[in-house]
Amino acid sequence: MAIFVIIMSLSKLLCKTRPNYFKYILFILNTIFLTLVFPKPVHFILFILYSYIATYLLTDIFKIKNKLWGIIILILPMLFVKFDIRFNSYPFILNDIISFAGLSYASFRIVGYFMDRIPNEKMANGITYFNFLAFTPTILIGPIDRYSRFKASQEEGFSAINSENLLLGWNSLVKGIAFKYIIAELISRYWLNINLGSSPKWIGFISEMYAYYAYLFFDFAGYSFMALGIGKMLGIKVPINFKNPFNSVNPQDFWRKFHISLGDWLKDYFFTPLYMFFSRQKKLKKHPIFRQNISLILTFLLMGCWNGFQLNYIISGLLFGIYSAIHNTYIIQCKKKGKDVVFGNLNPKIIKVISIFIMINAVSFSLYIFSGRFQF
Amino acid sequence: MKRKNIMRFFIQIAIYTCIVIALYLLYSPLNKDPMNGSSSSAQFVYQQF
Repeated sequence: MAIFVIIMSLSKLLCKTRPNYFKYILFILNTIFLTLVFPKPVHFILFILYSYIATYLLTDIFKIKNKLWGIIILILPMLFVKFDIRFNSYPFILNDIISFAGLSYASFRIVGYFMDRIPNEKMANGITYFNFLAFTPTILIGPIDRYSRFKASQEEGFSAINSENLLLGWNSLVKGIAFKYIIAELISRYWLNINLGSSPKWIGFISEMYAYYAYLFFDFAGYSFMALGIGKMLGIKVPINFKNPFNSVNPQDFWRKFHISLGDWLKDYFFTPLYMFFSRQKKLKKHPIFRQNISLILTFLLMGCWNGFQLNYIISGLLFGIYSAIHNTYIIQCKKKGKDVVFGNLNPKIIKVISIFIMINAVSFSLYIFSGRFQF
Repeated sequence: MKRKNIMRFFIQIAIYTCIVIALYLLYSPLNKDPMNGSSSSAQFVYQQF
């Protein structure tokens, strides 16, 4: 990565008069990473080709009106892998051919591009599309970027590589390293995986629950900050994926601070279309709260299923959905009655402390189930 | 302003030093903790970057 940053900085000096070269240099660097480091480069390149051609055919040739079919076609490789559908009778196993690291993130990005694309709009530039999907810092573990945002960032070109961004990127990289390789590692070694000996079982359960939440945050946020930092040093603004989720006061607030890009993606491409669909149903027209809550629950259920079709992921997603539905009902009731229906006239500072306490426990419990450590 | 920048510089030096020491202590082969999976800190750095 350091070599990539040096090459990019040198390119800026050499290509001062040719700002368009930025995307080509980025393309070369991404290709070098794909071919030399990435475990299955051919699979990834074939997937990019598949998604590009499928998007073109679906929007410009067949002009499909129901985008759901388009989404299913685009995420078909991911569905095969997630459902573990195998065609063993063939001379090859299909799953081995189409699965590669980062498939889910790439699928989310291509669906975003497909959904945002206006019919008859010029197709994305092939090089930019490749860079968008194969951008080295975000290829494996996100964040889930949007094509329009990535393109705008890429168009800034070499001007984004300056001392200020290099310093900001470096600071973000160091923060990521500290989060992932020091704090998460310390939590893993000396809190999450320790044996509490003769302590009561429930103490072990609660300790592990909190430990996993802290571990997951520092591990994942560490990766995201490293991606953000390296991206910045290479001249691409990667969206921020984590803020401090430990002070969240409600589920909505939590998803604005934890895996932000996934929450935004689900809101824009699943929750909103689903809610609009339910709104068009005659039977549900008189039940707006039900419509919202069922959309919320299904959205988080999808989030759970995205990780895999194991019971722990499904229940964890369902729990997050239920938390959001409860909070949504609470907000609507408060608005209707013009007062806080749960806390009444309690001091706002005390309400905030109680809310944070509830959220930490609710999230820890749900993530603990997600971890698969909980025995059903 | 100048005083503030100098302070910030030294704070950053201190933070970076702490990070380097923590990484070394966690992943060094001298760390005999059974949870330490890395056989050498140089190998760890090579693997990660």
